Amino acid sequence: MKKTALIFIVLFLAFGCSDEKHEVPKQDNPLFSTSRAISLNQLGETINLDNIGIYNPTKVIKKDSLLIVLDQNGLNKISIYREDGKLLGSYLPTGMGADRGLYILTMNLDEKGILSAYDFGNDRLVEFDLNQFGQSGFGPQFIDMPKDKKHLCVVKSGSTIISTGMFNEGRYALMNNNSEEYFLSYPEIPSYRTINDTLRSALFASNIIKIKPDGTKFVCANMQSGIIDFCSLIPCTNITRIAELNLYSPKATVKKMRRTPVAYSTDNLFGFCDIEVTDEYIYALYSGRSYRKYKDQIIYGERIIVFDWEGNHIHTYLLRNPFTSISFNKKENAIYGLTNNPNSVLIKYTLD
Amino acid sequence: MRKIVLIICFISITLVLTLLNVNLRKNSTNIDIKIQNIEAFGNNEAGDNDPCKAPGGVCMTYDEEGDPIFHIGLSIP
Repeated sequence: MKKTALIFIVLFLAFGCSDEKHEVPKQDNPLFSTSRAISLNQLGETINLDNIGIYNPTKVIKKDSLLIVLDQNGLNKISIYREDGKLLGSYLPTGMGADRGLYILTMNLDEKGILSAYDFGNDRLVEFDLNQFGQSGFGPQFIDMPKDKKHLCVVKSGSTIISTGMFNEGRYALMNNNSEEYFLSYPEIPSYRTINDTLRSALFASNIIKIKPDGTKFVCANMQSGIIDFCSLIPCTNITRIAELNLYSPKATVKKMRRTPVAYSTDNLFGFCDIEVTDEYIYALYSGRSYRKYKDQIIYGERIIVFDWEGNHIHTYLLRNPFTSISFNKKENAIYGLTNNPNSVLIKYTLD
Repeated sequence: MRKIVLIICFISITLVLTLLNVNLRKNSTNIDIKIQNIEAFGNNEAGDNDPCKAPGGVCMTYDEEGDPIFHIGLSIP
């Protein structure tokens, strides 16, 4: 009888703590701990972008002697420069309609030389085949996304198109033969258990997705929390989850009848700013900054967390210079970090 | 022995009810704070129509017809 009573008490205590099951202790949390941390000091070349006429870009990718520049606030969203600053081409003038660009969060250059970026203002994916750069037919190619649902982050690898957005049917949409199927659920967070699907998709609207170069997996990192999701695309008509790490949940007030249905707390820690991937690893630029303390500098990442494709934390690079975005250069085995504070500079770090 | 089990059960139920009560109270405080935030937000709205001032991510708002609009930015209270 005593035994039964004891079991009852233990079960009661265990059940009472069940709401805390998503919390990762700080010492085990790669976003906060310094375990497996390496200082990224191996300084390579530095390109002073201000000196060559490139001011406050959002992301810069170096490809051979070219600098591909995304500028969210620029007159043209994407421009291509020679390394010495000579402007070779400007594309996607700001606006809505044909050949224009409006809201582009990030861009991606794959190993085949295809540059892609999703414009959620015009609801289309923009692609440039950089192998044709300099030829007469070079320019943006547009892939329109279905208009019945709002897509906010879209990536493409070969014929596979994965997206997140305002989807009630699932976390991810996978497009096959011009029709979309929805897969997996949104992160389960006890404090947001009662919100409806629309608000849930708004809460997790800001993401960066990158597909593994061989097209078999993808990673989705949330910008407003410490949630990062590792998924498999095998078979290519299906999305299955490998691991979802909830390293911390977003702090926000969520309410339907309001102009901004999701308002993040000024104490909420900004999550992942950018992601780069290789066949082996995922390099996730993480901020951890709050709006209350850092204001407009919230989007600067102070560390790069390296994961493998199974979701295991491999190591952490602690950055001396916080970056707003990063790009991986396979040929040079290097990461280029971009800072705009105080000047726009691209800093190269050679990886071991 | 049965008496002890009954006492434990009673204490457990009381504890559960107390925790529930505390949680409900906490939530109602949150709702109050949220309402205050919304009011404060509304007060600032007169001369400034952009609730997505901070950089970072996707900011969702509703227009006057109640249709969602999406911008680049961070929505904060």
